[in-house]
Amino acid sequence: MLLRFHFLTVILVIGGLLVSNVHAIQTEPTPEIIARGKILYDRSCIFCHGVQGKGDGPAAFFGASYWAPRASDFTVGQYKFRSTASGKSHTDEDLFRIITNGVPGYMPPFVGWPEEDRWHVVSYVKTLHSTNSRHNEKPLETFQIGTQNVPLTVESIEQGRQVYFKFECDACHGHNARGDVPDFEAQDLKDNLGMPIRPTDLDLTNPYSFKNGAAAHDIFGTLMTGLIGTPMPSYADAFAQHEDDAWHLVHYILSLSQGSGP
Amino acid sequence: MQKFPPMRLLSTAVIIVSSIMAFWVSPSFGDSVGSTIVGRVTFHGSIPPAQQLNVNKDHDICGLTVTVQPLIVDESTHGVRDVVINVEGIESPTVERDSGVEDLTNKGCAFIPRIGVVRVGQILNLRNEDPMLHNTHIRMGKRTFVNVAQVVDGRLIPRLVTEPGFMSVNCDKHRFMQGYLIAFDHPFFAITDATGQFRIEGLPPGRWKASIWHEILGTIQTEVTVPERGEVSVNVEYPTP
Repeated sequence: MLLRFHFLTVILVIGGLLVSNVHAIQTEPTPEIIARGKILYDRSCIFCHGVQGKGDGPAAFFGASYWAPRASDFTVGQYKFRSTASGKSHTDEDLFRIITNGVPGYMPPFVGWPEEDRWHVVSYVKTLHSTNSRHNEKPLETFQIGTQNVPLTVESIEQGRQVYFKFECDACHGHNARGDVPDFEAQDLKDNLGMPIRPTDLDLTNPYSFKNGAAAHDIFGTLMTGLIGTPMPSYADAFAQHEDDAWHLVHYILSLSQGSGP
Repeated sequence: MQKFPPMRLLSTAVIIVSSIMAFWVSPSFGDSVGSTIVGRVTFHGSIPPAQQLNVNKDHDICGLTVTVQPLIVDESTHGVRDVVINVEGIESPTVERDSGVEDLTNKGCAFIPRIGVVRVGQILNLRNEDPMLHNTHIRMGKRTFVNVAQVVDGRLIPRLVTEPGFMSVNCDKHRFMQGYLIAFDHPFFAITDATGQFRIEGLPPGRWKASIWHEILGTIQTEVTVPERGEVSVNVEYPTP
């Protein structure tokens, strides 16, 4: 059983790295590229993100009007899923990654599109941003390090469990990491739009609730950057000089779903 | 240029500027650093009772309720604490990195200061002195300035202030914690002390518009005439409702 768990988890981690580590080259946006991106946007994105990119398309209104996450408002120019520090904008690669991988349960992946088309949409979406968020940010240094050095072991998982409680992840995710917080109603968690956060959004035993991806490095990224617009903060400063602890925590979180990732 | 949030905007007609005095000094005194506005913001009305907010978590540290009184008036002078004064419209060089540093500390399940002012280019040092996790979540409208976990005995977290604006400060873990941070892209602002006094230095001569904001008393606007040199005394009284 333990061997099976380890095998599945390793497959999950490697698979995640392969799927999420998008390698593509963006060409310099020209009016033609942006026009092509708009055609693709109008055809496939407008239903959720709206004509002006305010996240107010008809599908967003009917599908996620009363809960988080709502379709991104591109005019704000900040994204939950990114590689940059809390409060910063995004990299172009962040946008490309989300278009490619989608958001489990919310946004379909467009990995079937030619890379060129995905970059065209990136170029168009950036024209919808407010002027102070059009520049390309630098990712957090922790992302430039690349792969992790902490092996996935039972000991690492146990250390991760201790970090989980030491850093009070249970305050929102619950003692059993199922969003099982006794006074959840009193906590009244909301996103930046005032949409309520539900216990299922915080269930770490269900990898489908990992909207930023369920691969090891995706979870590591979420810990480091936080999810802008939600109560999930960045732990980059808390883990500074203790990056191994972050990987232990990632291993613990992965163990909660027994490697049954999407 | 920083604008205060849309609140109860009081007409300039109800502003009581109790004294405006310009003390002209010789050019050799004070050199060429501009003029200074000093003054006090007062309120003589009745003070609403403090708010009792239920504590949703960590009762052993925060207690069962917290008391919040946004309107703090000095008994002897009637000066109002934490009023923000902003002299607008003065050309000021853009500062990418100021030498100044301001602190924002989680202490006793509250933000200290509760109302903070900062200049673009300054470093905001985020601290946690409580024996539990806080997250300092600072937002400007729909945009997030920062949302960081502040663990027990965690290190100081410095953040460069890059945009002017009115920001709300919250801890998502403790919903009763609320503060405000106001960032300016110029140096001509101040916040009143415990006796309602403020001081703004280095002002160029001219007739400038000033905004005066308090969390519950609202925003009032007035004009201030600043001489070439010297000190102008401007006392403002909030009208009683």
